[in-house]
Amino acid sequence: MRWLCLLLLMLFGSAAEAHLTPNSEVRLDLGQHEAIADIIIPLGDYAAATGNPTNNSAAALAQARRYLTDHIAFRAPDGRPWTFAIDTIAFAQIQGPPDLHAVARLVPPPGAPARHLIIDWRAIIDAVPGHFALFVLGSDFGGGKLGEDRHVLGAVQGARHRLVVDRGDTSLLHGFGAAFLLGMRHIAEGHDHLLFLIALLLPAPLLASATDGRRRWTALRPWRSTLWHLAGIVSAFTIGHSLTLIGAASFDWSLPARPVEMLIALSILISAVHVLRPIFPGREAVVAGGFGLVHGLAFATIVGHFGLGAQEKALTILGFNLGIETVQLLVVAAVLPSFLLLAPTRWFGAVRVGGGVLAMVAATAWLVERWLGQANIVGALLERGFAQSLWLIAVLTVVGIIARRRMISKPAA
Amino acid sequence: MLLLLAGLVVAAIGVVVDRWHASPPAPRYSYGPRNFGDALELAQHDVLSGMDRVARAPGDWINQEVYARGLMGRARLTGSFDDLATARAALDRGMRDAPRGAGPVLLDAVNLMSLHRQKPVPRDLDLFEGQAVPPGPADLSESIAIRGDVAFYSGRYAQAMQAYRAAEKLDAGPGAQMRIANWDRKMGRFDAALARLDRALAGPRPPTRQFTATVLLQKGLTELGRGRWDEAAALFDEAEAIFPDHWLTAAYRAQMIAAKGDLPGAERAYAAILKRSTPAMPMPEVMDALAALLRARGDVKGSRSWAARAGAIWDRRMAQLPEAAVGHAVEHELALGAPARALALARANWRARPYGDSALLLGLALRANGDPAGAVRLMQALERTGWRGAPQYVLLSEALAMLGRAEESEAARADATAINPRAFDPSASLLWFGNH
Repeated sequence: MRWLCLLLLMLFGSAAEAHLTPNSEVRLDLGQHEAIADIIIPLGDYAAATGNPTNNSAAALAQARRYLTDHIAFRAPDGRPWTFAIDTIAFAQIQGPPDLHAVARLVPPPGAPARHLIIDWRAIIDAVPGHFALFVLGSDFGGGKLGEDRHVLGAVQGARHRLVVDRGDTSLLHGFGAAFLLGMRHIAEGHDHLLFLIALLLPAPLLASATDGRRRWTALRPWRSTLWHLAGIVSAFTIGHSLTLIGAASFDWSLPARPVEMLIALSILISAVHVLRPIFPGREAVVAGGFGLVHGLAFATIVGHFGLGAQEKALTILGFNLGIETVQLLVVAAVLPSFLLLAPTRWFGAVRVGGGVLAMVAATAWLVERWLGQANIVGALLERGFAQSLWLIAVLTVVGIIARRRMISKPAA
Repeated sequence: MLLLLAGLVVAAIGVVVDRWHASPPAPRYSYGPRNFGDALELAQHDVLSGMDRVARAPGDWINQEVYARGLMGRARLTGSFDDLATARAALDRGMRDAPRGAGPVLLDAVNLMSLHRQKPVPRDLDLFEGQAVPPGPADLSESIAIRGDVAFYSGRYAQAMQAYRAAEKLDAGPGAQMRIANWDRKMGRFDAALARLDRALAGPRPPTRQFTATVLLQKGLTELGRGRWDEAAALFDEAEAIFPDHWLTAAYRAQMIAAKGDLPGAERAYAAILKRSTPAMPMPEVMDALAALLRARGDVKGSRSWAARAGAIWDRRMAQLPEAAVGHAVEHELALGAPARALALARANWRARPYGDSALLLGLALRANGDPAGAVRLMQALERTGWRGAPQYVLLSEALAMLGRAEESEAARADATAINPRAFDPSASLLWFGNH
């Protein structure tokens, strides 16, 4: 009777299944004096609701524009209408089935708040039963939300076509604070940026010299010179990434993400080789500044689209950059004691080579990962390990203290 | 030199990991039909043989059972409700004509389950287990497993698992494994479900091509449940390679073409499947899938035409075997028809089988009819039963958003994406088969 069970299961295999039905989605970005609505309406439901053509001819787009302006209204709490101007409109297949995609600029009437509005939405929902429009908040600088993720505001369907959005009081400080925290989080979680910096700092207490025609790390750099050297590397990296971050985020410079990410991995690889064998001794600051330009491009992709208006944009970039610098300085402050303590001891050679090999393996793994566009196990394992790097720093510091105490108590004969 | 070394280390680790995950060697198939055409021919033969036996001695219940079994076997391939209804009639006759304490009771229970009429099933199983000659371990295991099915489709999941485990103790064959896999999948335990499906194939007897393909489709559905579309597509392709030409496999593959964004390609694939449609194999599910795809592309006229054809078949099936058809009719009405009708049908479906999938359909119908509060209550109750699928949280999130409960909506959204990172992917609306 065993076949019976299979038969039964096969028949059940065609059991009724719940399907997701497409819905409209509107993303609102709220600024100090205006808002942007990014509107996505499933093309099929638009066609079913209106009977209008769905190609990108001027006539079809004009009809779509007219339909939206006739079926969507934004009002101030006192009932006065907001200006609703559609900037762009197109039928496009961005992700999933094709949509009607429109971006509209919304301006409140004079004296009305920009973060308190009433949405009266009848597009599609008045004609296609069951269809609903979901409203999400993208960015709200004054509310301390930059738009790195979205928050649900509400949804309308059928006869429920009004939605009240009230985001309360506003302050530019909230947005600045959010940008600062985002910068901190980004650099703290972006192990590649920090690994590049640490790889450049690792041989900083050493001086290179050539023996047998080959350059090696041989002598110890004087303590004071080491500090200046470290400050130079960190400052050059800061200047480098700040320049491109400000430039790219302010003027919408953009490069494809993959080459930028690959260049970052390459920068780590070169620094890692330098840790093992000096290839640009004394010019670490120049390298830090040069590759810093590339790292800044990657930072800019995070904040480039945040903030409506010049003031918000400037505060976002400033906050984000300060957040990055803060974490960067904290990391330097954390690793510096261990490097300085260990540098004169016999342990430093092992730490330097171990660190260099680790950075080299990580850089190679990231390079392969970013080139192929596919995660690999080595990168994943290293990321997991880097998340615990504070422990490693603590251990190195303790080892440094012990080694130095031994050196002091047993002076060389 | 050092660069080369680092590259070698990464490459070596990659090779080791690849070997670690390498698939086991493919089994050899020494018996069973080689493809859908062979299987259908075999099923036709079984039906004709059963018809012949019934024609010679209609009062012999064993002949009626053989005939019903043949019809159900063919229905499994074609999805024909006519065959299921005829099998039902043959079993009714066989049960009526059988002496007291005998009859086609186990097949009757299977047929009733496949028609979603589960109330009379325990009576059949009592009869089967109480026969003068006690059933062997394999048959007894099957009977217990069907009791588990009754519990599962009544929403008593713990009791269902208890029965499945008891059945597995008697006979750890593929039937028990696949049921447990289904249970695991519905509770969001995808890895466990996949492991069970592998065990279903690893029995002492080598599996047939047809069974292997069925298991691969189930594995694909499991991967879909957690948003691994590429893995699912590969499994559907493998099912096609092992047991070619099955229209349902072709439909699964067509939806994956759509999900990848090639809507014209998916339309061609669905149209090719529907060219094989006949009155005996009408494929209304595929018609619905094509109608939904055409609608998504803005071809309202084409969509309505296919939806009307599918709707006529569902109407006929509703008249024929309402409990078995109602769930599909709900889907049809929700996606392509009238929400009000969908709600009435969803309530009937819930009454017939008050379990997770029915709850989800009813919840969707409530939301589509402007009752998001009802949908929220239903989904929260479903969550308390242990049922875990991304669609229930998608619905919960949407319904909560409609009620203005934004924070809770966000939490439900996070629950959905934790189960299936692609739960809100717009392309998910193009997955017609198995996206639940």
